[in-house]
Amino acid sequence: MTPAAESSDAQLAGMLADPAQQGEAFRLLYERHAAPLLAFATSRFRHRAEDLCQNAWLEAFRHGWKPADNVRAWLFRVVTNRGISDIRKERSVSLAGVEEPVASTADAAEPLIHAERLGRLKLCREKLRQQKPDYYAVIQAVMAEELPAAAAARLGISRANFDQRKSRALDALARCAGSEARGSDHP
Amino acid sequence: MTLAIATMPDDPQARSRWLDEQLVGDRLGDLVDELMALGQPQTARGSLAELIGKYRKELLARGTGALPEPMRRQVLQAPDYLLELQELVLLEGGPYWNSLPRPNRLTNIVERSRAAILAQIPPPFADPEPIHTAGRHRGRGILQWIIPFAVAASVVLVLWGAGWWWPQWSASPEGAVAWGWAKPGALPQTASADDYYATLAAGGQQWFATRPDDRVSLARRLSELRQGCSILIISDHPPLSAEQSRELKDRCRKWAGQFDAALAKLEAGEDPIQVRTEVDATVEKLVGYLNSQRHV
Repeated sequence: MTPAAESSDAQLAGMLADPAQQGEAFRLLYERHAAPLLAFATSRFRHRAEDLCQNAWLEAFRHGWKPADNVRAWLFRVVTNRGISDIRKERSVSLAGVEEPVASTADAAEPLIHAERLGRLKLCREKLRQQKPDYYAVIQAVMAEELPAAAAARLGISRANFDQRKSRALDALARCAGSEARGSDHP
Repeated sequence: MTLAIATMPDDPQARSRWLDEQLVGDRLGDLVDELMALGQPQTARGSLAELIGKYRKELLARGTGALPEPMRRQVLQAPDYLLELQELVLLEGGPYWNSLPRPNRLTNIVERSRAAILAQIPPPFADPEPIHTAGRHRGRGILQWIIPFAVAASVVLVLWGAGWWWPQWSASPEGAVAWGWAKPGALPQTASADDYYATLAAGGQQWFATRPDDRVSLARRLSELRQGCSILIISDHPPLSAEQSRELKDRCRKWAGQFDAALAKLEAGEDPIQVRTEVDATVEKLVGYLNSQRHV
């Protein structure tokens, strides 16, 4: 048997032991799982996702591809555990129990990761609300998924005006969040 | 960078497809933040499984377009659901989810990472000590994997020494980085800590050896520098103490973040010379740090 797109993960993992097949087997495994793994990691560990994913692949090699039955779930768990562990170490939190698998990666990761950007965005929202209440009202309509035509009518403005305010408000929020981020960077 | 929510289509019919692309893309975390900070998020009531109930199978096969509109809106209005939904579709989703377009930024990182991983594979399997230990504790099963890799790694090293490169392990001939920390063999495993820091500093200094001034060349070189950071972060650094290794990795993560930001600026169309100047400043600092750790 040679590595092929139809081969199962377990079959490909088995071929990794064969020097004649390992290059192609790894290429197929990587193509199959690398992008979903990075999407998963980036949503939870934005700035360290790339390194966490590389580490997870190397861990799979170090473990002799024992996770072959469900490679992707195993990679997700390694990324989650390592990501949470790294963050807790940085925050000088006790290491006890960190390596235990977590029941839900979403539950475990979310509160730890996004606090900083969330805080910045809330600050920017408040600035917008105070300085440009008209724009703020449009953003609230957008976030509530209100239909643009209906929201424009409710706010007493034309559709074109609504679109213009929306565009300007989103630009202002993006600029604000970006400048707040640069201001908080440590050298 | 624009907000993720800015890409949401006005047309409700198009939102399901847009949401599906967010779930497999690299900005879902941003979207969750924005929904929570800018909107009036609702707390998720019950689990995602309870919410989607009988639509689970259709969701996995056809995307969020399979959900009734009020349910789809509920998912978006309660961001707590989104990360859980992402995990579900990435782990169990059918071919539809694999067919969705992925952002270039994500695919570029995937390619860059493959080269970094391949550069790191041989050493763990070439070290006889871990093989012996693993075999003793884990039984014959692990040997069936590790011994062939040790043999393969030896072949790679011999070919490497002879000036060859094994094409099967290389993403592409141009994928192998020939300078800095990502260069094969750049991290001496048996040096003293002083020499190790000196080698790392010299590796960083090589950034200045080539001065690309166009966007594409600079992006390529910056990617190679970033790849070197990844290798520092995931390596064990045997010559250093645990504390030194930890501090080095922490620093690397900060440098990596700055290089990522520089790449994003290039991709956003900022002046390459200005971006290069900013990277120069970061590299000067990191070389200074590495040199400062000698004789500590």
